[in-house]
Amino acid sequence: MSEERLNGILVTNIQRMCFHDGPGIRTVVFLKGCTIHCPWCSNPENLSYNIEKYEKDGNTSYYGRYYTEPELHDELLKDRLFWINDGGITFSGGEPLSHIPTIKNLLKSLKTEGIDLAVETSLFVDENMIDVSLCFFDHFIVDIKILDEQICNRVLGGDCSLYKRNVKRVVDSGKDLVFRIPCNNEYTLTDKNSRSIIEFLKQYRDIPVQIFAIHDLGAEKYRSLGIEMWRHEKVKEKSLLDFKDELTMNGISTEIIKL
Amino acid sequence: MITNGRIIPEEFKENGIDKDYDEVFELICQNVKIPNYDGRFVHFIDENYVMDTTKGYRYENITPAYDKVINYGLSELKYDSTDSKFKESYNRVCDNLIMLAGRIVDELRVKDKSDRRIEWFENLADKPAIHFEESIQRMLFLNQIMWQTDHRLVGLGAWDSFLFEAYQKDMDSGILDRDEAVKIVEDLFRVLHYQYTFKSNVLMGDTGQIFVLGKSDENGNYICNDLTYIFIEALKNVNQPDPKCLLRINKNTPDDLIRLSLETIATGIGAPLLANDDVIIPALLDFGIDKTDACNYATSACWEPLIGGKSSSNNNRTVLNYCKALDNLLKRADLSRICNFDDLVTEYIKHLRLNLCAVKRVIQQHRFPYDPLLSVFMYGCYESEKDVSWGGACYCNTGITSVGMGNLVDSLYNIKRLVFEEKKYSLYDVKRIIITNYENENELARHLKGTPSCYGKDNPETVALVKRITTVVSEEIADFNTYLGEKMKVGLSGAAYLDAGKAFGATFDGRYAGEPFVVHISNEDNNGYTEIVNFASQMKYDKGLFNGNVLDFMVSPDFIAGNIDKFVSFIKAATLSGFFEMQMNVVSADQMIEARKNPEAFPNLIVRVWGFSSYFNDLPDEYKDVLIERALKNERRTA
Ligand code: SF4
Repeated sequence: MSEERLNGILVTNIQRMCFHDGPGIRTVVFLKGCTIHCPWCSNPENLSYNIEKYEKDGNTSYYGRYYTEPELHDELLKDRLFWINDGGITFSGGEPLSHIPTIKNLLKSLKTEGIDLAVETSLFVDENMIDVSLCFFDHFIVDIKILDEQICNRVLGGDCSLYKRNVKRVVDSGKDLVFRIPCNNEYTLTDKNSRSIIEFLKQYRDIPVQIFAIHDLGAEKYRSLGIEMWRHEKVKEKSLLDFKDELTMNGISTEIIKL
Repeated sequence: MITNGRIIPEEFKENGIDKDYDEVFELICQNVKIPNYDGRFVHFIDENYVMDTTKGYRYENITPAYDKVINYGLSELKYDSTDSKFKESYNRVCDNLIMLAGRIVDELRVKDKSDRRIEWFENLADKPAIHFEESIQRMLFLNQIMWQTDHRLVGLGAWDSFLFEAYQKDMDSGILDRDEAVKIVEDLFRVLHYQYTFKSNVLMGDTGQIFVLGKSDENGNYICNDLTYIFIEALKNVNQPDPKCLLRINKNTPDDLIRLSLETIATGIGAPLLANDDVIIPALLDFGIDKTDACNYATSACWEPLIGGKSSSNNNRTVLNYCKALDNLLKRADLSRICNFDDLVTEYIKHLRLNLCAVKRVIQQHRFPYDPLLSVFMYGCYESEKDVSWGGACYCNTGITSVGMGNLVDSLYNIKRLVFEEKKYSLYDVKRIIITNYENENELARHLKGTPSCYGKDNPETVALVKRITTVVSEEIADFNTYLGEKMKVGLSGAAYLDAGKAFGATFDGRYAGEPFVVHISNEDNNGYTEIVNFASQMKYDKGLFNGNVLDFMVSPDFIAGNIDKFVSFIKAATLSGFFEMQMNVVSADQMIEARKNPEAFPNLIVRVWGFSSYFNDLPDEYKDVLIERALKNERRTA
């Protein structure tokens, strides 16, 4: 294994000036590699833990690049001045918490410098990763997807009970938390799953929920990787509004967002 | 007689020779047609009786001293005795303006003896203005006579400061309330917008009518007042591309003023443009501008800082094309001696210096016409007893704009990669490709166009390269003096990105011959606006490099409106970071594509071009295409 790969942090993208991924203005870093595989994933380049070659407009390029820790540290802090009152860095992916072993030192130094840290996660990771992450992250943006054990395992490849335990762990830590639900007619908004989500959320009524319709913004990336994109029905505005109403009626504060 | 499509009255000449200034000015005041004007203000330009200054260089892009016309009656501006030609001309200008005011009084009287504007125009002869509306009327009077005498792109300046005393007095005495003040300013905007076609210069909307609102005091405190807000509110309400507005801000600007400006920008009118006093004022001081004056700066038609009412600077004398020196290098230098990137940049700089010498020679030839009207309304002329054209104004430095820095930087980096690193091409290949306009190399052109632009990236290497180049420019202009002994300044933005591009060959960033150059400081491949703000904040703006340096963003509709709090934080942080100026084009690619196909459905779609806003439908197609392409890139889409 190359030294780069041993010590490096595999990043697909760093997106600055993001408004929807935690408080204030944020720099979002996308780590490459995910523990599950959502059919509607809009970041197919973040699924594999390896660098991937792709073709676009006749040019060859690569998804993913290894950064050394100091290099990534400096890159992520370029917008520090824009975080005067709030704002900071958000780790996304892929599943950023599955990268804890490689990013732990980076998180430590960012924390020591007082940087506000957020993570966008699906929580399908070992419990000990959650424990480490709780030491560093100030905000958790946690996805809720499929809550039926079997369907979750079959469709996402994830262990739903592990997910639920991890949610509890994060909630119990008292960290700032928001749930995010990617809405699609095929899996997350089915009658059964939406009922399960509501039931699940009833125990976490204090935690705000954001819902959004899944989109096709990843189409270009699927094409570049030569992977066929999952075809899905367009989610109607009304379905989102109805779902929001239902959540709200159950005492769950819900907002529709556009991603 | 018709010149450049304009009718020049026969009486402006005698035996085919132009009459002298004093006589023509008198004829204008005697004969301009005063229309039947029912609006709140009297404001007109007799388009068939405009002075003809088309033969030489004229004073344009200038902001006269509007405060003089409010604070003094016209006769109070005169010399006591006329012992020189200049003083005679100067006093004749004042007398003729009084005569014109008298003609307006007569016209108003004929229609309605009780018209309150009669008193305003009577007072103009020998008293300062007292009321808010009266003051606006006087400033409009000066503005119209500037246009009538063929000063194009007449700037407006700091009307929120000039008018505040009268506004406050009228508010205190109860004859004015805030709502009425908003209506008055809306009417002012409508009046200025009237004759929009006549006022437009090269493009429709390019009128140069710019208000410069808000300011900083000498201790860095932010100064604004009720009128600063009222002007911006009125701008939002009226929703027309003209007049324009620039808001000066600093690190102490109140959040609610930034918010109001952003809400206005979010409507898509492209204004106000934001100018960062914390960067601009130090640059003016470094140039030798007096501190009080620097704190009161206004701008030329678009964004080039000057001292309103004190500066006869022509800030757009010519255009420096940064690609020219690279083109010369590739065509004329001994390419066999250029072995690496550093050699290339060193050789580029040699050619840039030669290029700047040529620019200086051109500007050295420029002479300006005798202009007693401007001299009356330009501080320094009365005191020095000299016309503006003889260097009478407090400041008469000169300015040039620039284009092509983005294309140059990308071309240099492409050569670095393809010639020196990957060794896929030689410099001779680059030369051939440029000369033949990518003949048989369309694939390469496509590849280069598709390569994300480096210009505006905040990596240390790009920042250092651009600074190295601009430092050379500041060194070269440091020893330059105009015929009046004044200095020159240059900026990183310029209106000529399309016209200069039309006349220029291919560049090694995938740009074919004749295509536009990059717009100001912009990069639609940027990684968030913060990146390009960081880049711009690391540029040098002192040593004469302050002649307009505008960051130009394409912004999707709803992006600001949907995130207004975060945008306020962004602007505040960007101010601290140290950007120079910033403007935003809030429009979607789809809207413009539709409007291009179906103009009747989008009569009011406003977009930002150069430093002004315009109706989309009024623009030539090539400008529409540039905007559409930039918007598509910004939205991460392709055409
Ligand atoms: S968790 Fe996120 S990155 Fe992973 S597959 Fe699902 S959508 Fe894609």
